[in-house]
Formats: sequence, structure tokens, C-alpha cells
Amino acid sequence: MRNIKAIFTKQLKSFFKNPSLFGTPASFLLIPFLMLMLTDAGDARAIIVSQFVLMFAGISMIGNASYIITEDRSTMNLRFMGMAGVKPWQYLIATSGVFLMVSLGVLYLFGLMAGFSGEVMINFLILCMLGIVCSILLGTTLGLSKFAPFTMIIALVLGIGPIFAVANEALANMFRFTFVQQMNIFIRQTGGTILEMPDGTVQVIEGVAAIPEGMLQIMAINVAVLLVLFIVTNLRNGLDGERLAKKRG
Amino acid sequence: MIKMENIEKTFGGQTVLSDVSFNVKKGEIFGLLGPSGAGKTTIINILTGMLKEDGGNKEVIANPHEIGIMLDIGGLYPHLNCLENLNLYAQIYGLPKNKPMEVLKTVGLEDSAKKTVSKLSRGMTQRLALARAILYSPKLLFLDEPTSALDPGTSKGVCKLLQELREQGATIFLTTHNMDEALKLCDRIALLHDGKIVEQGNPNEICERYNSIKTVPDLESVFLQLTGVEL
Ligand SMILES: Nc1ncnc2c1ncn2[C@@H]1O[C@H](COP(=O)(O)OP(=O)(O)O)[C@@H](O)[C@H]1O
Ligand SMILES: [Mg+2]
Repeated sequence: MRNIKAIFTKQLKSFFKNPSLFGTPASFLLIPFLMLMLTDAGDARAIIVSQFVLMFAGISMIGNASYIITEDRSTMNLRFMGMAGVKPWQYLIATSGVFLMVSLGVLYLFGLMAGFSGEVMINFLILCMLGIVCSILLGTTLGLSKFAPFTMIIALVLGIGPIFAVANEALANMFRFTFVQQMNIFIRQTGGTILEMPDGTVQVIEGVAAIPEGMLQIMAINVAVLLVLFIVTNLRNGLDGERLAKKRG
Repeated sequence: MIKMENIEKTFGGQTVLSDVSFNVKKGEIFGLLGPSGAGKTTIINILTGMLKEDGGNKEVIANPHEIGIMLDIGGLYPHLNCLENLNLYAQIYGLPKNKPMEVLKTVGLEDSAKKTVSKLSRGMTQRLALARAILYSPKLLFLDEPTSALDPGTSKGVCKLLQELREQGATIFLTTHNMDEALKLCDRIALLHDGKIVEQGNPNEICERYNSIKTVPDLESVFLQLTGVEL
């Protein structure tokens, strides 16, 4: 508990003191805010917000999780923490705790921007927080693995892919079961829209507040798969310095 | 406490250590001397498990959590301030709340406690790295050129601090290319050249052996005699 609290405090300070960490989430929040303020977005509200939520959850949170670990490692602190007896799971809990807390705040602001309240807001937060869990697991795994330099590419594909998937069925199928696509589908369906039919009549499609059937299960599978990936990649090797600890009993 | 036997290390065809043997006894300050590029940092990396040796045996008798390491500016977060950097380890090691400030005082950084690390001078950063390494009173300390960026006055202060730590029972392994400092500070030294330890023992005795005490013991000239190169 002591270790978790110590690392949590440090990561929280790191987050707000380092522009490389708070910079992208802050801009992904600010840009749609300005867009909605300066224009009459109308129906496009949910679409605009959804794209930035995806980029926040995909790009900036995966990047942040990976960044903070890379920093912990390159400054040799990961190793020193390992020598001090910090276990990989303690490090993971403390680090993701900070990102989850920050994300909850950011997502709430996104929700307000999209005009969510009540049931939609709660469902939005539940689903997106699960998505954030996925991002953190993926970012942490990448950060601790030798694939760390490819983090941004992977994050870009996940963050932007679903946006293109709207226009392309093959892409939609590719992203179908990813956590980012679930978030995408959910936010878009909440928007509702007014369609003008060829015969001149007007059809109102109501926004849907409920999480579609099966979506939570898909999210749970995403979390499980990424958790296994994390465990396989990292518990085997441990944090830097763990090996030394083992050798000396 | 530390034993190295016939350690070899090669980096992609370049043999850096060809046959390094020495041992460090409990409670002493042991200095590893050699010019820049001799392989001093490599030896520390091997001893602390950061690098794997290619041949030979080594033994370090200490629990990982009782080891303090100061490698260049390693272990510091540039965006956090001095106190925040130390607080992380103070909390992990369960130290009293005032301990980080105390240690900052010991290295003369109490006025910079709230300064961001990236804004510190090189010498101040080095002192903070030392503070981080000694924070939890480790039994075994590895210090890589702890005084290389310090002015003579501060350097003296650090030497005094290291002697105090030894009196409290710590074993200290340090590298340096400052011969004067080694002579005054170290109980025993080893001279590293060409991947081998060319001489080791008490620094004053070594100087006597090579007849290089004229007015004061002169390790520089011993090294020159032994290797033909200057430090
Ligand atoms: N990771 C590495 N990869 C390749 N060469 C290295 C590595 N680390 C050190 N070396 C080489 O080993 C030699 C000794 O380096 P080092 O141990 O840092 O010397 P010192 O600390 O005595 O100045 C140098 O020639 C350096 O270039
Ligand atoms: Mg060196």
C-alpha cells in the first residue's frame, strides 16, 4: 500500500507538471470545445465529440501510459523502484490509478460538451472508462516492451481508424471488436438525427441512451485480452531490477 | 562484500574489460581509478546487475533494497523538484517525513528544495543524485564519479559526507579520475588500465612502492609509471 501511494503521488505530480503528458489530453479537450463554441454544430455535436473522445482514449492515453513508463525506465527509476521492493502490479495499479482519475474528469467534460446528462452520461462514462482501462493496459504493455518506439503508430491506428471506419465497411469490420470502435458506436448512436425523406416527409431518429446489447461483453473481452498480454509481457520479466532481487533471494 | 574474478566484457567486438579482479571489504571506501573510457561505469553496471558480464565470476553480498546507486544523473525526474524526487523513495522506504529535507541539507541543497531538477546546474543535479542514493542509508553504495562536476569546496564536503557514512557502517564503492581525492578518501584503490586492474591496495602504500612520494604521495606519477599514459 505504501508503494502504491508513493508511486501514485509521484505520477500525479508528473502528469500535471510535464507538458508532454498533459499537453495532448488538454488540446483534445480544448479543440472540440472551441469548435462547438464558435460554430453551431447542431446534429454534428455527437460526431465532433466522439472523434475527440476516441483520440483522447486512443492516442493520448496510450501514449501517456507508455511515456510515463519509458521515463521511469530511462531515468533508471523503474530499476531503483524494483530494487526497493516495488512489484510490477503495484506499479501498474498506482500508475493506472492516476490515469483513470484524470480520464474520468476529462470524459465528464467531454460528456458535458456532447450535451449528455442522466442515463446517457452514466453509460457514456462506464463505457469510456472501460476503454481507458484498455488504453492504459496497452500503453503500459508497449512501454515495458521492446515495441515502445511504435506506440504512437499503434495509438494513431486505434484513435483514427474508427473515424475512417464510418465510411468504409471493410475497415468497420476490421475494427468491429476493438474497444475504440465500441466507444465510437455508442457516442454516435446517442446523437439522433433528423432525416428529410425524398418524398418531403421528415423522419426523426431518436438518440439511444442505452448501451447496445453485447457491447459491455466485447469491452470485457478487450480488457481481458489486454490484461493477459500485459501479464505475459511483464510478469515474466518483472520490473527492471526484479531479476537482481530474485537472484539474491 | 564485493568480489570480481576475471571479469570480461566486450561491446560488439570492442573488449572493454579483459581480466578484472578485485574485492571490496565491508566498511571500506574503495576507489576504482582510471581515465575516461577505461570501463569504470561498465564495472559498476556489471556489479549492479544492469549489464551482464561475458566471462568470470562476481559476487555482491547485499540485499537489493540495501544498495544505493548513483549513476550520472540517473534516478531523477527532470520535471519534478528536488523534494518531490526524494519523497518518492522516502515513501517507498517508509522513512520519516522530514528525512528528505535533512538529506538535502547534508548535500547543501536545502535552498533549492522546491526547484525543478531541469533548472538545476550540473553540480547541483549531481548532489541531488547523491542525496537520492544515500537517502535510505544503504549498506552498500555505488557512486560513479560522485564529484566530477563539483567545485573543490563542495567536493570536499561530499568527501566528508562519505567518510561519515563509512563511520556509520556503509561500504562505499566509487569511481573517480581524481587522484588527489582518491588518496585522501579511499581506504583502498584499484587502478584500471587497458581492461585490467594494474595495481590495487592502500593508496599511500602504492605510492611508496613506486617510490613516488617526494613531498606528497603522488598517484598520478604511479599511474604514469605503470601505464605510460596520463590520467
Ligand atoms: N552499452 C555500450 N555499448 C557499447 N559500448 C559501450 C557501452 N557502454 C560502454 N561502452 C564503451 O566501453 C568503454 C568504457 O566505457 P565506460 O565504462 O563508460 O568508461 P568510464 O566510465 O571509465 O569512462 C567506452 O569505450 C565505451 O564507448
Ligand atoms: Mg563513466
